[in-house]
Amino acid sequence: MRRSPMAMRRDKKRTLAARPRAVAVLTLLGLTALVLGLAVGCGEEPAPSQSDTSAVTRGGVLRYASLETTNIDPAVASTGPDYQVVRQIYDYLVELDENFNLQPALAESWETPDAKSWTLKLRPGVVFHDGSSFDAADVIYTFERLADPATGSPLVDVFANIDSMEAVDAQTVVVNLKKVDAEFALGLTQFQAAILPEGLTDPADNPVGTGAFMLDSLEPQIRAVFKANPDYWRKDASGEKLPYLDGMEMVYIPELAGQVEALRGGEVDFVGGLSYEQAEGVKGDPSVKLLTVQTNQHYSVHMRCDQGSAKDPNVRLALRLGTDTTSMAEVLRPGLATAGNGTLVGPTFTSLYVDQAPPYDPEKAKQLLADAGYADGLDITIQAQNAWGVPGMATVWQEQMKKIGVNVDIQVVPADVYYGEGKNNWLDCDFGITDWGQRASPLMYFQLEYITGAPWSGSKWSDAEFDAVCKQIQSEVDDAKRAELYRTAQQILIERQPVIILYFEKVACATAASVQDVTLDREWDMTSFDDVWMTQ
Amino acid sequence: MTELAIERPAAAPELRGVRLYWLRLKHRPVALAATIIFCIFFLLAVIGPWISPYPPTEQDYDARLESPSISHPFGTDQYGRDVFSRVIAGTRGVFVLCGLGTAMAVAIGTITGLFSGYVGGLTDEVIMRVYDVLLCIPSLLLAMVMIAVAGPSKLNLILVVGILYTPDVARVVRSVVLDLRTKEFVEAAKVRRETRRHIMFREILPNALGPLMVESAMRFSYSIFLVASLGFLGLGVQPPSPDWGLQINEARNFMRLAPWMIFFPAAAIALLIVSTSLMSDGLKEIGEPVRSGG
Repeated sequence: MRRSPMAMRRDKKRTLAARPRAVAVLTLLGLTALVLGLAVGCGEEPAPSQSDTSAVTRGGVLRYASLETTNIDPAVASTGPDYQVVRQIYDYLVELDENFNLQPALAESWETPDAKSWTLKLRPGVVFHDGSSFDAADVIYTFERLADPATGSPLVDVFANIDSMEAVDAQTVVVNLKKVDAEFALGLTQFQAAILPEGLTDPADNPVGTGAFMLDSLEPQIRAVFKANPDYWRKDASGEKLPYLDGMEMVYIPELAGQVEALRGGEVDFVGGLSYEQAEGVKGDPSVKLLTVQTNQHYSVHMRCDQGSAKDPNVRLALRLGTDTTSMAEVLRPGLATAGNGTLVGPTFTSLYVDQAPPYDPEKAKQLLADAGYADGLDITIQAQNAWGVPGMATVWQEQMKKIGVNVDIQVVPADVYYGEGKNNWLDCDFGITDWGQRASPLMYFQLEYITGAPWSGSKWSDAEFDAVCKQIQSEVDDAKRAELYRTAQQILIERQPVIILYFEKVACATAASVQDVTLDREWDMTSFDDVWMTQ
Repeated sequence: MTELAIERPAAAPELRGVRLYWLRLKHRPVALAATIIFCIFFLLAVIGPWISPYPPTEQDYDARLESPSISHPFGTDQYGRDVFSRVIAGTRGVFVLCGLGTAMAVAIGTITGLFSGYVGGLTDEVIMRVYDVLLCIPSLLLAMVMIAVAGPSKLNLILVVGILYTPDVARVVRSVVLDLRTKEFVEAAKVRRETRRHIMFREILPNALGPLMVESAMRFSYSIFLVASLGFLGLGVQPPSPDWGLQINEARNFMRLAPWMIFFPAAAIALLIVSTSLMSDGLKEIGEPVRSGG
């Protein structure tokens, strides 16, 4: 039925579109509500301060993106993922804090009159995951195991220096060394010195420790599941039990890029060892927190001294002088790296760090090569493990070497091949790029990498003067004199060391925004999660 | 190899020359477009070094991670290398590695397929079972194992491609041979007491050229993907080679910072594979109408 024109006009007026003023008012109200809502909703809650332990929420399982473990026996653990697992399950007698000072852990004190006889007083009331109590016998067992060559630990020389040990009582061990070792207590902080219960012969299959987390299951290449230790000895600042988390999961994701994407997608809560570009990429993301810490982690090109073209020390010097480490740090990791300046004693060793300009002299390098008979050019092959941006370092180094007339042929190999048992692995090749983690003191690197016969020496260097200085460092009790000896050692390295230190890393790790109070260890794989908590 | 696809006419007993082929191609716009794109890539592979604006491995630290611009049409990578020059330089690598590898597969596959199909009997059984073994192992996996054993080098890559794709070519040729060996012209040749070699290569092979060329083009496009995958996995050519797969591997970490680094090599791979496949499809179509009951 047709409606009257008047009626139609009335109907028309009722629609919102015909009433501009109403539209304006409603829109204004709507926008105001939206703005207010956003302002309230986006307001940041103040993060609880570290000492405000009452704001901590307990519970939750932290998922940690990880690569593959190789061997979780702490005495032989040598890769990042191994350390990650070991650190949660076991404790150490002493620990290093951010200022490189020793702090008590399973040992309450470590006295010595002469750096030869050490009295360790152990913490009472600590139990292992299997319920047995921690006492002197466990420490003696652990040290004997580390000293035994059959175990295959790289720390065998440190612990083989032990002449005798005595359990004076259940909480006291006296360790008598054969030779004075001023850094013995420092050595107890090393990754491999985790304390095992007496009689544990197969920690790789059956790990039992005193740590904050117990290993529930380990499926290689899938995940490792940890449960909180209900009887963990450490307490927080208010005396409350630790850990705050219910458990942890180490999720195997084979690629760092994949790990970062998983973090952004909320599938994991922690990723470590980010490259520069990944760190840049997560900076703008509100669901991710970026943490950094200056470390002594570094990458070095090692040159074999007993065979190949680097046998000639002048060739080694030429290659070192031809490497522009400043440029390399700037290209590969701007803002997150310190260029290597000639030794592996980096900026974290504040009292020992020799702060000098990196040695870079391509003209002299060319001259040395010409004198050594390579005026027409030198061809070398370098093994680059396909991890941690090493192929990128090889690529930049190759360009730099071109300028001094050295042709570098890059061989990229999977990391497990580089550190594997096969031919041309890191201990066999003429030139290779190795990543080195954080150590408690430079002497530990020297003993692992530089002294004659060192177990992890890719260069097979043998320098009698350097060996002698290292021995002196080990036996010098006076701190000032030891610092002087370290400087002497570094001068020798600057003159003739068989490796090129590329740069020291400022490590970048990323966590989900819900993860709180992570204190990155300088060896980020060794970050402990006993006082970490997650907002729900 | 790939030149066969362009210069020789579609295989058929009545060969009518390139003109026939061209005529047919003009009416198939997809195949035509694909062929043109393929030819452009081929041209780039040949004249690449002369037209690329920068040397593909030249680093320029003042121009790192630049987005595409006039001076760098595809942008630059983390070392300041020009991505456009690297993609062009990679084209030559693809055609050399994949082309030679495919050629090897075609050569060995044709000869063994012809022989196996014609002679038959125990020889045929043995050869085909060996090829069956190669075929049932996933090709990328087998390639990875072979490279892990022999070491990554250009020669080994060519050999791997050749060995991996020989069975496919052999099977195609063999099936044609089985079909043709009972035909009258073969009987006639036998009566004339022609040698086995003459019958296989002069009588049967020309008739197998059609399916053979289509298969060759298919193998070529598969091999591009295989070589790129190996390069991506770090088992192909070594840095700083501008191999497309290797470029994608190096660009992975920069996906958010500099997506052009991964986009252009990936687009090149995709474009070349698709155009080769479509071109080979076109070949097949063009070849078919001419083959009447043969």
